[in-house]
Amino acid sequence: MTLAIPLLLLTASLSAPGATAATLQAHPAAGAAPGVGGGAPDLLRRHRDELVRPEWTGEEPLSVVAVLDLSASVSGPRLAAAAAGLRTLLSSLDETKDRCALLSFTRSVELHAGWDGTCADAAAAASELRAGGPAALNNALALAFGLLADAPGRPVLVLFTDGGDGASWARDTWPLFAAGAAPPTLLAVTAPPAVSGSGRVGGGAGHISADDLLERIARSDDQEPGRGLRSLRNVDPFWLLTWLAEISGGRLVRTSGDPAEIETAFPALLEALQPN
Amino acid sequence: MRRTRARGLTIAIALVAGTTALAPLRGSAEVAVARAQERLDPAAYRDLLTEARGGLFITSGRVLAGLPPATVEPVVADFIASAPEALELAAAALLHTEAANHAASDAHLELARTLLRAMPDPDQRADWTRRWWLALGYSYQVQLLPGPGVAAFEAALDDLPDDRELRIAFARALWMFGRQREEPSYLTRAGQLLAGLLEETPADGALRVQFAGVLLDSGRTGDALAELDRLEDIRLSGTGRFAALMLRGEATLSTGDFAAAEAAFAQAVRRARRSPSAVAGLIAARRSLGDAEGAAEAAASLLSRRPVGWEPEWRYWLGPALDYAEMFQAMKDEVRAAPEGGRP
Repeated sequence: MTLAIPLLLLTASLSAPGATAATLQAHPAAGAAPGVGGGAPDLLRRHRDELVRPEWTGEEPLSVVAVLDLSASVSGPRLAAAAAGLRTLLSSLDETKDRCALLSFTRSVELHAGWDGTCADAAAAASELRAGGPAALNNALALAFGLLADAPGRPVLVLFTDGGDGASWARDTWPLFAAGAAPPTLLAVTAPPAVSGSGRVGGGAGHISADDLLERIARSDDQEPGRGLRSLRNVDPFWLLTWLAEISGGRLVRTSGDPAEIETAFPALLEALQPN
Repeated sequence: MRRTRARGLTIAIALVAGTTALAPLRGSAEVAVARAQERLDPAAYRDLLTEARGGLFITSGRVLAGLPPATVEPVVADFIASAPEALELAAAALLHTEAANHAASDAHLELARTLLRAMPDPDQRADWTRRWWLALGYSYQVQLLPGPGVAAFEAALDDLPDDRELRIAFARALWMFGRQREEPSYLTRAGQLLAGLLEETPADGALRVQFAGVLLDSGRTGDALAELDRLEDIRLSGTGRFAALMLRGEATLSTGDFAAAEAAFAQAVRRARRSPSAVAGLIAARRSLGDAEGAAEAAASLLSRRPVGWEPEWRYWLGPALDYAEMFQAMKDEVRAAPEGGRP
């Protein structure tokens, strides 16, 4: 027996500054760059100036870690479509050369199929997943990059998510650090964030492109450190994925959230693995 | 707005699975509920309260939730004017809290607050008000609802401005929400509260860890590291030391001192092997040091273990908030009326 909990109440009669997610925005007097962390500008600048992308022939065996968002907001047709699309993608890989693993995340991160199985095993495991809870995207990305850190062949991370991080201690920059000097190729499909009271970050409807980020980095060279990088996740919850796709030579597909669009986006991601 | 509230309600119901269905009613309860549904007058209100104190909080709360607040408010005013006992006021406050969960309106929470304010004894009033606000604020915190959570704690401090326990709870919630939502106004408020609390108890290690966290999240990495250095000689709980290590790892990662970050995150992992964020930090630090093998080993080690109910970092952030349901239940137990000739 527990008392049922009142939700989303109080806001009308008991006001508090900045109390609703819809009004969240960067504070004009913020001292630096909360969230992206103090090292973010330097890290992004290094990516911009020093990153050396490997040359891929398209013939290398692939080490693929697929990461599925199982937060409550993706449950139902979106998740079913993502799982179906992922199955198609994994089924098209070469069982004799390629390796696959499958991770899912809510508040925790779970391994459903490891390197000891086949890509068909990972595809089958994707059919069994159920959604519920907030989303620790940054933890999941960092762990996936960890799994890929010493993987043979071309490391590839395939991701489906519908919002930014809402449940990790890990900052948005940690996956950037975890991606290492030669980031695995990121192939990502996103659906628009569902604005809800679930604690999920990602109410922002903005779209920050890689060029926008480069411009912000340039601006932060001239102004106080990190100024142009504040609260990016509240503007565009997928800014990190945009950047990772850019620096890894991968692809980010932002769908409208339509299940059919989500499903068909996955197989098309493989085009990004053609020789560069 | 309606959609958002409806969705929130669904989440709450999921959190208290098994408590939402209308329980089979006893004979007297059937009568009370039917009377209240027909027309809420002072007698019907007291009947509902009696049923709630007999254990039917949810059923009675749903009945109240189904009535227009405008018809309930004068009845509550009459009830208060009748000078009820403190436990009756507390029971009514809990009943309206239950109703607030079922209604897409915050009017019942205001009524609950009004009922608690009517307690004549100041100590008793402060005690119930503190416990009610804490349980309510904690419930929002556990559900990761910053808007209602911050509003609840702000209102709590309006009622009890100097209450240390409330200030500590609010500061913790503000830091957590501010960090997750990257909301500097929350972090600023958390810093102000923590600074005030630390003036009262400078050697409080738990508060100092949170203060270091707020500094770090506000972009003041150097100040955060200095604060963490001061913690070396202060006794901390296990979760407090874990949090301090996580903050040190994060701070040194952002300053590019990857060896220090690796050391801090490795210690954090030793303390909490099932912490995904500690392992994520360790992977980030090791990859930055060029240690791919070490990063892969860290990831594989965590992923070979089954996830736990609440990850160590969440146990730290939420702390006492995890007990909110038990807090509400204890208050309900306290107001239960003794059956005739027996103990409650």
